[in-house]
Amino acid sequence: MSQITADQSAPTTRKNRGAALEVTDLRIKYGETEAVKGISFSIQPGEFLTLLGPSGCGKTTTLRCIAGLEPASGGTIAIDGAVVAGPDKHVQPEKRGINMVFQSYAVWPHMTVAKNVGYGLKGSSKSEIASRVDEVLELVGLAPYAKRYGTELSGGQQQRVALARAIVTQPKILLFDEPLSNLDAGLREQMRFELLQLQRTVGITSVYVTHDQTEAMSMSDRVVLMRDGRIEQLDVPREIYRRPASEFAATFIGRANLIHASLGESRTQAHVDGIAITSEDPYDGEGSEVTAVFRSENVVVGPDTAKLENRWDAVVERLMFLGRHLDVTLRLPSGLVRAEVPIDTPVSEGATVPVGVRARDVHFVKAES
Amino acid sequence: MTLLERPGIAPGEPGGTATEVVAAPPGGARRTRLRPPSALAIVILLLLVGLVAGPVLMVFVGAVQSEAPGLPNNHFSWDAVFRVYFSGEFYGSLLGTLGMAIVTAALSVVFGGIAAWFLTRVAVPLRRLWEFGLILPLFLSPFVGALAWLLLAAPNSGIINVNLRWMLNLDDDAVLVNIMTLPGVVFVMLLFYVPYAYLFISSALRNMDPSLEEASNMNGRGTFATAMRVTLPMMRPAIVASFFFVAVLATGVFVIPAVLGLNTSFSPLAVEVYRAMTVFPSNPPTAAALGTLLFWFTLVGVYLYRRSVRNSNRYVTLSARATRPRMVKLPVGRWVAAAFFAVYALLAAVLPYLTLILMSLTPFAITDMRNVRLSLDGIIQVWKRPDVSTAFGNTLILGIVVPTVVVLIGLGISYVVVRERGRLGAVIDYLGTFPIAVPGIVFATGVLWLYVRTPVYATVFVVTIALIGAYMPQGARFASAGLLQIDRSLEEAARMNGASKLRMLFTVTFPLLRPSLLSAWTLLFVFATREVNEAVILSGPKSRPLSVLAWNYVEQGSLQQAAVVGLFLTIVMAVGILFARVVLRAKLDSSNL
Repeated sequence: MSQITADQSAPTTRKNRGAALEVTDLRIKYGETEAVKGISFSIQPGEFLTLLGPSGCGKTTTLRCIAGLEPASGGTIAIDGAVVAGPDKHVQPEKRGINMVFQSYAVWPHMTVAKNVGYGLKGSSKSEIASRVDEVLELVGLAPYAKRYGTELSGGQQQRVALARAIVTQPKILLFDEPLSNLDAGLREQMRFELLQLQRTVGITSVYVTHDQTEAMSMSDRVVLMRDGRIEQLDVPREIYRRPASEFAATFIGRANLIHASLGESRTQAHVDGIAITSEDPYDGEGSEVTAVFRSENVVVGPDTAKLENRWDAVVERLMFLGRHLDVTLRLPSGLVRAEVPIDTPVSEGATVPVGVRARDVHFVKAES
Repeated sequence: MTLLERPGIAPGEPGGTATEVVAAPPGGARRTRLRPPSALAIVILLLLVGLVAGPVLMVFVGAVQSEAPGLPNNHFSWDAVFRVYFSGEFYGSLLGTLGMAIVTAALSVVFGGIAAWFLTRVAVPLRRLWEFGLILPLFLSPFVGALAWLLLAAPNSGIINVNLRWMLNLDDDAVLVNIMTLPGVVFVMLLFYVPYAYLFISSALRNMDPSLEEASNMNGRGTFATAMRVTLPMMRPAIVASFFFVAVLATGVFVIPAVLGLNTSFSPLAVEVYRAMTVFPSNPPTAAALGTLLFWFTLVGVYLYRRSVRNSNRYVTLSARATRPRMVKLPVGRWVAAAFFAVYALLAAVLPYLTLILMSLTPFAITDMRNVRLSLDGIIQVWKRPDVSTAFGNTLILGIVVPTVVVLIGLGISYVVVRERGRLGAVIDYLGTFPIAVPGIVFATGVLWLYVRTPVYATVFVVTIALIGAYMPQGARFASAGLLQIDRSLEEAARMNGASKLRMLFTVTFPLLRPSLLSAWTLLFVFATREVNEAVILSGPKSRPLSVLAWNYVEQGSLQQAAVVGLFLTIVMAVGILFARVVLRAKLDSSNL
């Protein structure tokens, strides 16, 4: 996961036409169960924000609430300062100036592509609508398909129709509800790139929902990691990856090694089962029971460990050759550690090898029992 | 309609069942070379020839005879065909029948569609109750309903007219409502056919991906624009299908216009068939020829219905997850809608049955409320008549044998069609669904002539045979809908675990099919007990069920006795449905019909 495409300073320098969005203490209840339990975040104009989390974490519900398709049971949602959902207030979805790309695309099967896309352009003259539709279809590369019916298109093409239909109305905010989850892997990667390209071109504030961490990481300016209706962490992708706020954040995104340990005198070093783990950043949470988090690609095996702050001896339990790298399972006194090492690393199952991690690649989070 | 087509919409009576849209069973690769037809397929084919193909053929044979088939001096003759098709004598009747069917179907679709939209998209108060009220008429007898409305709104003696006269101080011959007119007939038909349109359209509305409507909202359209521009066009296949479905039913309907004595403007073809068969001097070949004439039109209707059902599959789009459609907020409209539903329930169920009970308790059919003395005498008197107990027995035989046999044969048909496939499967599929296109009264004449020289003639068993043939499509349809939802790998897993084919059927297939078959059995029980169209042609004094006995009383003008027998019939049906619901735990809500 070294791929970081989003330029962190981008939102302010990119062309942007979108609105700011402010979500404050949002709560959404279905009968007795509370799906969203008081979350707050704000989005700058033109920013691309992703709501990421496992299924059932409340991310889609939050998105639908922003759209106005679900009523909020508490808190407020404001677009450019104007409250659209709040106590005793619910602006209907069609009046919010928002548009949305649905997971199922929701391309109307009884209309042609052009009719689908032009649907939201009411109050304009026919020729105006036609030229706007052409322009947008050109943008998404569907110009030759304008006369086709929705169901005559492939999944990827339907996806583009949905996208075109959502941007043609020049919404203040664009919402994406897992738009790529119904595509196959290859197409998904291509669409991810195209979608991002398009968002940058039109510069609309975007809220994107996904359970796919790769999508979230590669596309977003910032990521809201959700769990059980609460925000677990809100940060730029690189920070979430490098400095997860919790064990959940560490394991949900990328593959992490977790070692439970107790802090010593220094807040940068913890001990367990006779090994010491050193981090560069001091632990700033409560208590002294911590979990040390480090990524398997940052684990070094063999003689290169000599200069590293963390250096332990481990037994190689299992080797797996994965082409790009070697996946090594190592046994430390504290438990198992996974490492991704170059394929020419000299290791063999059963051997005892030196293992190391840089202090700056280790991060302490609060231990969860 | 063939059994392999799976509409996302819900046919009712001669249609079959609503299937949830499920993932298509993996087909394609499974199509290996054609196997020789199985023993099961051959048995089913023979049964269908005797039960379906034979009677239909006999109608065509009967049309080119000089007398009823089976009579000694009978010979080949084109007279009846010429009279029916070319003499012009029946053209008015034909046009009237078609017009009535089209108007009824159009209005059913309009009302059923609006009702379906409100019940699936608007938070109407007491929604469950209205939904129950809307499908309730499917379980009631149209014949009894027509009878009750005759008692309520006949021009001279109807309860409404008689009592409003003295209440409003009107003349003795003032007529405020008259059910014995064409609009009256259409009205009563609507009470019973709107539920079919409702079932079709509401199931399509439920199966529609809610995000299609949400996308319209997100594009700046409000409730009304979304309903008109997205929902309505999406419903088109279901609307067209239910239109033709109801039109086919209304073309062949005999009992409603017959009870309401419609003969002012024209008499429907089905009534003409009945007259030609039973009224002296009877002319069976003309009845048969009229039957063939009716048949062509219902065949066209069924063809168009099938086509629209097929088209509706194209509209089934992939849906993300099972989200419920967003409820539209209509603060005033929802109460207006509730009021309309209440009126419908009142007109279709409450009022007719109150009338039925009241008339049963009123000897001498006195309809003036000022003079009514309630007593059980009338009921007891009818109860003691020997023909009533015979009719009870006959109704019970029909109600138990017909649904059981139809469900079993239907299971066999669907197994051959869905699982075995092959060329014979296709033939069986068509034969099994054919009776939909044949109006009951026409089918019954065919059965009559086919079995005229056999011992079953003029017994309740010939009625049983006719009803089994006529309801075969429903049985097959329910079973196939169930079977299509059982993934083949579930059965294959049983075989891989060492079960024989028979053990697999009894341990895996049947238990999984149980809910579908129970719904089918219950609905068929209702159809079989309330049936008049066929039984009226086939049964004599010893073999008639309660429904025909009641009809005979109507014919004689003894409406009070007819009401009592109608009440008995209703009680039999209610007990049967309760038994199915409570003891067998059959599911009878709109998603299972």
